[in-house]
Amino acid sequence: MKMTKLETGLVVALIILVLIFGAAFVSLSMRISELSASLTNISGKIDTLSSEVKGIPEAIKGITHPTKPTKLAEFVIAGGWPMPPGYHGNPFGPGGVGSCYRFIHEPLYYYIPGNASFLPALAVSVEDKGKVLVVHLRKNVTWHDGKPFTSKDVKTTWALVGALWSNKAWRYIDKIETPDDYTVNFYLTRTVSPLLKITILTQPIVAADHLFGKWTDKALNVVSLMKQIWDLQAAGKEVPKDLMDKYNNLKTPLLKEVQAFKPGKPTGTGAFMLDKVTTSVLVLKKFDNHWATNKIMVGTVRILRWTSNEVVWAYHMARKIDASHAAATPDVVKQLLNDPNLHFMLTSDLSQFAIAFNTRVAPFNDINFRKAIAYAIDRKKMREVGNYYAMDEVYAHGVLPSMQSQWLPNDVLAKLTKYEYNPSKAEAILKAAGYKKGSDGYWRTPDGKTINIEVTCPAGYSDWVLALDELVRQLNSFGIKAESRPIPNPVFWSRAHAGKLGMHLNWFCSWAGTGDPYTGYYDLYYGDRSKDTGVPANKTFDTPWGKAVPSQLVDQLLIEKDPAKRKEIVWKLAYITNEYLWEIPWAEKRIQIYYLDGVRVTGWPLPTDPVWTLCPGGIERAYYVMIISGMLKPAASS
Amino acid sequence: MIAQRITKRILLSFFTLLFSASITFFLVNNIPGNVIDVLAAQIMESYGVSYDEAKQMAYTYYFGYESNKSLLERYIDYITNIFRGNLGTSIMYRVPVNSIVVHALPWTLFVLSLSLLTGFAIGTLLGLLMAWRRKTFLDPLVTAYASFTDATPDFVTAMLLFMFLAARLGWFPLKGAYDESLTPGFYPAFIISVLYHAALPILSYVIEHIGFWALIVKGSAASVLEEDFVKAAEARGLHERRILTAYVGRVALIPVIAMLAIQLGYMLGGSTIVETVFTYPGIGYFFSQASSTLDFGLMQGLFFIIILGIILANLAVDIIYPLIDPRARRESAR
Amino acid sequence: MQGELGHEGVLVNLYYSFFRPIIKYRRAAIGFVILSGFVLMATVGPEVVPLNLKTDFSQRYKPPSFQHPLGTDYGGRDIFQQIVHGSRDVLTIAALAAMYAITIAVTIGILSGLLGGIVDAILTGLTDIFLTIPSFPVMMAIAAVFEVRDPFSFAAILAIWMWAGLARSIRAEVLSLKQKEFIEAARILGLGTSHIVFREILPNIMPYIVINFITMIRSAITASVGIMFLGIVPFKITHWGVMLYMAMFQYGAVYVPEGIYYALAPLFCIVLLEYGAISLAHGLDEIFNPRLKTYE
Repeated sequence: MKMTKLETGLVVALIILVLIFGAAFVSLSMRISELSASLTNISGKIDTLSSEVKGIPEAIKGITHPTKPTKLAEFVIAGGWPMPPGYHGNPFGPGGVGSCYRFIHEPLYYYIPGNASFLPALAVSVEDKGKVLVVHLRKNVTWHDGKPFTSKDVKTTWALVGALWSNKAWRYIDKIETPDDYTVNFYLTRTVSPLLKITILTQPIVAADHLFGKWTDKALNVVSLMKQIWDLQAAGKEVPKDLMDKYNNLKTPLLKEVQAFKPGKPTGTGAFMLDKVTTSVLVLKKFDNHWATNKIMVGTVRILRWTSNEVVWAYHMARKIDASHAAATPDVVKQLLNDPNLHFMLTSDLSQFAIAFNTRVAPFNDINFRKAIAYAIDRKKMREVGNYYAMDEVYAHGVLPSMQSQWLPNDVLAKLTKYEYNPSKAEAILKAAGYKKGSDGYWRTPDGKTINIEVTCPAGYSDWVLALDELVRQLNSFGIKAESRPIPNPVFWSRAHAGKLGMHLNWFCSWAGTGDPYTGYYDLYYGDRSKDTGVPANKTFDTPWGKAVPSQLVDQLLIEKDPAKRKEIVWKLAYITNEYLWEIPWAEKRIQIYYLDGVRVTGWPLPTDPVWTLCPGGIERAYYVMIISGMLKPAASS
Repeated sequence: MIAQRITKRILLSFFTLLFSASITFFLVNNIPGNVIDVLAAQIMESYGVSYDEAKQMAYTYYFGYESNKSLLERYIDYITNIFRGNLGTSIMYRVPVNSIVVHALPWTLFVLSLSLLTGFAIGTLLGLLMAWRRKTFLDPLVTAYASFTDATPDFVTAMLLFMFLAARLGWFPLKGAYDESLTPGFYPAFIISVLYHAALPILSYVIEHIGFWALIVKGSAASVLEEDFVKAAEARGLHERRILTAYVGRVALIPVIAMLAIQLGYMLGGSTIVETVFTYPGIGYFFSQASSTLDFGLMQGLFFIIILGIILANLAVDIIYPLIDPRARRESAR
Repeated sequence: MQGELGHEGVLVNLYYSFFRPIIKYRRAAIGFVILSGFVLMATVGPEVVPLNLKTDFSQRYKPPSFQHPLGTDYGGRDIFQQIVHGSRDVLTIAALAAMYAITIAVTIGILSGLLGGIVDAILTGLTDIFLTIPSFPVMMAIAAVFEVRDPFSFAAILAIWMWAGLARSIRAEVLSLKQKEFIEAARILGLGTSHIVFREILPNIMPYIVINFITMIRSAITASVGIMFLGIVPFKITHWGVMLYMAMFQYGAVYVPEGIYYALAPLFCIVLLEYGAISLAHGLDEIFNPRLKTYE
């Protein structure tokens, strides 16, 4: 029978399908063979590496492995990293090395805010000699590729983090010297303050001298120009254009050169080295020549990709991961905790959620209006729908509720206004300031205009979107006409920094990184929050302890060494921040931590253990410290 | 005559491609907003540094983000590169978009071609049966199924499958394209692992699409049933099954095949949601990454692939359609 | 004459030509009842049912009861109230968007198929461009400059992305219809273009348009969520799509057995809406499409 037109068509369509299918298979198989080739490459590299390691005298090996544990645990978490083929293994490359950062790169010391103690890692002791910080390094530490770790690595790291990441500690570091292989001298421009000490000692040593050393001198040149620029800026002087050009002309090519370095796998001194990286998983294997190797009972760390919180919950239900901090509602938490081995705890994230005002525009430029809102809003309800496990806040002083007792004694707190939910007080404030309620039940400004505001938030934070909706509902029921509008995150932040938003949800006084109020007040009076809210940071304000200028207070807070005097500075800042309400915090964010005990690993510390306070800003750091200190070990059942 | 028509179509498609790609380029390059803050928030959380430092790190990561070339120069670069088969460079990953496409496209094509074919085959069969046996339970049943699956957004279907079949029951893997403990290669264990990992993503598509194809084919077949030649065949006392396959199916499938081809074209874009839920390393997955970090370079490249797919599919339909549909051919011959 | 017929005549006529067949054919009746229910909900519902969005955390995730017909959501708010109050916006905007999209698609598809030549080339090119330009960067660009408050512009923004595929299919359909005997006959008889378009072509592509209208309504509901999260339109927590999205992603309704009503209620409404519409469409098709009647 002759083929009909339709049959021809069908055949053609079929051929196209087969072609597409075939193409998919061929390219897939090409990928697969390519992948297997690259994997053999990697294993080849590992072989050479282990043969290098073999070169170490047997005697030392005997010491480092007295009783090698027969079975090592597997530890699984979730995280993120640049996806192959984009994975470069260079900490300075775009996206860094990913969530394995803390397992691969170690600092000189870990600082545990919970008990204000330093846990030695790559260093063993520190001498504080006034304007010099002398650090004595641990001996017999090796990089993953077998090269010894020396003071040169510390210097190279500081040169590069200064030049490429503009590390702020360089404002107070004059120079770094390495008198011998195991001593590093940090020469400072002023005497050592606790904050500076933490910043210097906890910087992970990411750049091995034998890999990055060729850029050290160039980087130090960039740093010295950067310091000149900072000094001029701090003195309030204008930076000459030729200095700026010189700086950029040095920094740009350096950045390009360093980022062109793509080793494929990061090289660190940490207890784990990268074994495999795919789009969905990172596999780390124990590094047997690590300085704490005989304490370490975890042999493999597997990091699954964290695509979304819901997916991580499912990983927990399937017992596929051992720990995570995926935010969830109390009902989801209750479901997850049906697993008797899963434990749950909360620790502060050192940041606060807030209702922020752009104080440059009406009606938010009126302090009475801001105060009225502080009383008119039931912040607890925002917390319940938005972020249940956050911690309620009734002040707006910028000291985290979880840290309040450390910084603000009761007699100071008594001087601060407490903004408890009180709509009638809010009405009284508005009426006294000349606002009137119209017949439609909505408030009018003193000049008779109906207040109609649009409250915004970053659309990407869906918990904020819910809190926003609750806020707007409360505003309307109080009689302030309002609408909620989530905005895509990149657009939101650029509009916020340009001062184009009115009332919005924002961060407030984040202490991330240091756990010190300085960080929060710096952000509010100097950093991005000052752009968002337009705070008059250079204006003089009255406080119960005399007149003060917030920006000057922030500067003093950084350099002051005496803890008692620092507290007094914080009181003044807290007073100004609380009474002028640039932002109204609605809750302190807390990290929800889930950990699975007795399936793959066991030995988790109690929730009260200070080691958990390492969590904010890099929860992997807490897990890592638990591993190298020997807390986490194989579960009996596994 | 046909050659001339095809040439015309190809030329038109080429200009459409160029035009769409250009518009997309300007749109992508004018996306407002500043990704530095978004990145800084991520860095602050994962590196334990203050916001200010995180921002400096973000600048380093995103270095080169603000090109010093003018928009026009970048546009000319983009177009000339495309003619050389170069889709540009990803800003976040610092690798050529080509290499990302080479990585991701095979997985997307593998999953989507399998699911499209399965869904199409089952759907067509159901649709033909529905059209033929109008008074049976099949029609309301399939209609109910179709309204259910069509009204259910794909994220709901994918999440439900993920949740129940993968997480709760543990019958299927939760993530990835293959078991990473296996070395990729051509041996049964690896191929089985690839199919096993693709099962749920494929199932999510198939579930969503069966009803769609069934309704489309039913609509198409119902009108064909009225054609004189079918009546004639019936009058001649031909066997039902023969009428259904040889007469009705043949003609009814013509417009549907056009739709199938267009769906194949859309396939190149992958599915952001399904690939994200199952952490499947396809194009859609990279696409969601690109849009969340505003990686203009990667976005431009991936958009070009998507546009190319749609235009090629439409071109194929335009060329094939007259060959299989005699009526449209007469028209085009005019 | 008209006066003599009066209202009664019209009603009787309407009864015989519309309602009786609907009652006779069960499917059409089901669809009709469902859709009427939705229209009733959107028009009268918000006037009858009060809306209280005040959160009461102790009342969250309550199962359906007399007090809360569909249970309560995460904030302890009544789901039924939210569904009813959301329906007006949801249905108006979705129907408007689908109508815009259909109008554009039909106009462009028929013009391009019927006229051919240069008009066809231009319109096809335009269609292809709208088919291929990705919506994400356009939406981001729109989000930066526009803020929409009225439902008409909201629907228009949704409709921009929905018409191109249909226009292309209609063009193809018109091309093939053009060759059919009845149109050739009409042409030879010298009947005008408007006759050909409205009497011959439109009725033939009607089933196609109807089914597309239905799927467009559904996709408009889900697409609205994306537009809200882009900040182009104000955020409404009572929107069905938002409810479903929040239930799935923020509140993890699939993880929490008690929370399932919050996810099911909006999903059920969207499914029921679509089922009602499809049933009515298919039912009407069977009643009014004379060619199908022989199979009854």
